[in-house]
Amino acid sequence: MNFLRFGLRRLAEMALTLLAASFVIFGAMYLAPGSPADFLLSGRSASPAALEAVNRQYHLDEPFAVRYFRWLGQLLHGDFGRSITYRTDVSRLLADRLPSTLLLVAMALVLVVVVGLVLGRIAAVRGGAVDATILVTTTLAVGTPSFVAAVMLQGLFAVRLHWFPAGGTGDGFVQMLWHLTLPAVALALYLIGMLARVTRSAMVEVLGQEHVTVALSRGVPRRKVMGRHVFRNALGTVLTTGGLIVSTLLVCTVLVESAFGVGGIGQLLELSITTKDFPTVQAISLTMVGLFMAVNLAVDLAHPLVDPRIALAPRRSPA
Amino acid sequence: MNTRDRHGSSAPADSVTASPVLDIRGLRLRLPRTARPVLDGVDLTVAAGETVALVGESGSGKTLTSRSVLRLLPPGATAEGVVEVAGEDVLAMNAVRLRALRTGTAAMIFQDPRAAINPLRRIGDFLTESLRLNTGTPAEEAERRAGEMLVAVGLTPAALRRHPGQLSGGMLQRVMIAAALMGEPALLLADEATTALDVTTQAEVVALLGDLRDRFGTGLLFVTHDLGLAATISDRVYVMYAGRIVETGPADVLFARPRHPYTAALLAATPRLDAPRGRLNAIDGQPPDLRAELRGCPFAPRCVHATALCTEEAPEDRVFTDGPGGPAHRVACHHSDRVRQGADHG
Repeated sequence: MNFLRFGLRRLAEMALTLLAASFVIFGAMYLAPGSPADFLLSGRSASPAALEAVNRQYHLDEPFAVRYFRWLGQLLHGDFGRSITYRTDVSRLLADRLPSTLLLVAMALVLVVVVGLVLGRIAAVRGGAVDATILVTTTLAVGTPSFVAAVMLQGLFAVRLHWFPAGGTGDGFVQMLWHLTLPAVALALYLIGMLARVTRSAMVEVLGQEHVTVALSRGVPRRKVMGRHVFRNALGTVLTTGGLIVSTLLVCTVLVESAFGVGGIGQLLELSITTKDFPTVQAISLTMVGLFMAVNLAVDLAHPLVDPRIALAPRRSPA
Repeated sequence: MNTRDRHGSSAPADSVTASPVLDIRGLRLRLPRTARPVLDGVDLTVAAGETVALVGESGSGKTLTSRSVLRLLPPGATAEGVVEVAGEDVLAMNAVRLRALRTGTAAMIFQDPRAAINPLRRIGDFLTESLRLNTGTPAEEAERRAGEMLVAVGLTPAALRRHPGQLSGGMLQRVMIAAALMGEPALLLADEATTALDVTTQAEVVALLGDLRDRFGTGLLFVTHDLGLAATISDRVYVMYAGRIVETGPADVLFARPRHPYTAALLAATPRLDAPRGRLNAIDGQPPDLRAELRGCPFAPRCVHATALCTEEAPEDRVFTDGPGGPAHRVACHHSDRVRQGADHG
């Protein structure tokens, strides 16, 4: 019951946040220099008549408020408008491009969670030289930007070893998995390092707590204590980084998709920005904000399951 | 309800009294980067069904002594001597025997139950985990037994489903005691088990421990800095200072007629309700630093009776008996004849 009420309340909050985000996104494009008409007519000496035709077709001649509310009204009907560059419905573009991005982000997320948690756990449990080695490796990973990692991975595994394709998206699920492996690794590397460090320090903190000593004093085997108490208790801290991880993945996917030529919404966003394709940029930005909020909601809902001391409550209420 | 018989393990209490459940002989514990042993030749015994108090200031080594019994040593510590629990040397055990000891023979009740129980797991999980993971007891049977133990400490089996955050400190300490009883231990170690509780809860827990000791015949080592509490509950008392036992004897004798200046000073420093108000009689000076070597008697720098002999030569144990055949009262002091309770520091 509490769960349901909390969920509904947060959904209402999300709707309001999305509304605010839509205003910011629309306004940002309005303030940005240049206009789609300039791009469409670039290289050609546009007659005032042609310019006016383009402006009218995309409602560029109307006041800001009118354009914003027209756009908002269309959004509520699931209509993202028409892409200026591709001359097709933006929703169609998104539907085509979103699956590869979602698959890429999902693959990277699995890599981050599995490898990050395992490395962090090993570092905390073993300590000593193993800990130091993992620390150095993760420092390197955290210090490598995803586009640099992308170039290095392409050079080694695609160009030299021919294990993976150097770019493209591939058709069919298996081909897509194969094509997206290197991009997923490039995308995950930084976050693996970050998550490993968060996991390690959270576990080291729990290791110093008395209930760990007590469990050992009661004859619970050390390996079990590490799992049932230390790792288990560190998960709450780890979970709080969930929102950060997913938002970083969404941002970095723009760079990685461009580097690997993956036909996802990240690449589409980059192309749309350079061509001043207002409707597409707005739709993608809003989709990313929506995805990000959905993940944060999921993290908030999962938190009480991981830590029973946390009660579900709206964030603004005092603790 | 006699759980011990029902489960058919362990002999009745009477047959164990001959040999003590805990026998510490010459325990010497060294920590890294210290000049002297933090425990320096500790001798201590607890018989079945007996309550023994180990008292002393913070840092005197009493907690280390009780933790050594479960071989819970600080990192880098080296131990010499013998710590026998039910006839088996804890310091020489292999990992499998050590786990068996910790699961069954000896159990510890910790000072702060709020810190000692994992806040994220249910009480039932805390109570049963050692049994389930070590003896392969099926979950339902372990739960049933945990329910019985909760009843034995005055709670209801409903607490099994609770998280620690839903119980009060006193209730949690009862859970802690129930957990200690799960493995039918021959020896209970209570490390400041009542210090974190308020006074009325403290009295309840102390009464409960005494009751359980009588019912299950366990030996009880009660580590405390509370002399009043030690006097109330224990049969015998050990007084510890700077890692050594400085005085030991029957509780009534020792508190009525302390023979070590440190014990006398501790008693004088205990606030009393019937005494006139005024300054508390704190003991001047500080306990000796672990980084410095010790010669002679460790208490000499703070002692009103100290002479040149005290700083030169460590005192041997002297044995006093009150009348022929009376219980032994051992004191490590050159000048124990001069000590009069109340006269020195009061």
